[in-house]
Amino acid sequence: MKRAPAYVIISLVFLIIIGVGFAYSCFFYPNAHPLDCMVRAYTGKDCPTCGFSRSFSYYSHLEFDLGRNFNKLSWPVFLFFAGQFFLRLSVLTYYFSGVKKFNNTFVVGDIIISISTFLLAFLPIILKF
Amino acid sequence: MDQTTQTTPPASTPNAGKGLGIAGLVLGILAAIISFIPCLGTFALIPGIIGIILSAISMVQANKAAASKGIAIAGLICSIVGCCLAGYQMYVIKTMSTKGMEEFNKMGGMDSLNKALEELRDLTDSTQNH
Repeated sequence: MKRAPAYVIISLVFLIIIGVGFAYSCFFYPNAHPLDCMVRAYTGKDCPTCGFSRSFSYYSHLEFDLGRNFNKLSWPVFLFFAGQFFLRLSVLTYYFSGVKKFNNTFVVGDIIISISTFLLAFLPIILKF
Repeated sequence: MDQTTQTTPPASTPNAGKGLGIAGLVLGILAAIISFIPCLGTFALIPGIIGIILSAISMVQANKAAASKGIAIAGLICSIVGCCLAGYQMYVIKTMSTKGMEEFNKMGGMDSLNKALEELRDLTDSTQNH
């Protein structure tokens, strides 16, 4: 059996990781998250991403307005992960529909889009920290 | 009679170290993403360090087999970036907490609470005596 290209394997792994993240948000709804903020635990102060888990929980239950109340910066981050989820899903669908090779332009385009959307989503957090 | 040993160059296997390289790259990207989230940033050290190790092994294997090292190098860079950012966050949190503790001690720390407790104890003692 021929091995899938690295691009497809990486897309599959990220699809699973992002899927697990969304499942975590969906499962621990609305306020029972087991992970605590490291910054708050050590300093007692809220960090720029405090409230993200609760926001993501509400987003995953399609309650977007409620989710935005916990942390306004969470919306672009959620959109980034949702976009990545569908991008990885479309890459895998494309691969399993019969296209067995991706040209370099496609892969480089994906890398550029992913990095730029990542920076756009996370820049407000970086600037606030 | 002189016996000369002929060394043959290693056969090029294009997939050498590719699996480890992919694993290293995935962990590196994961570390880089997590390290940007202040709440979880320090946790990025775990996938980051594992990513560095896997990428380094993959690079050595690819080097020996004269295979391509692109994925291993990408994994190594992502893992190092993730580790550096996680380390920086750890440093910031540590500095903030020590600064806060110093300020707390400078303000008198637990003195006022101890004083209030002593006053309360005196008050309960006096009410018990009456």
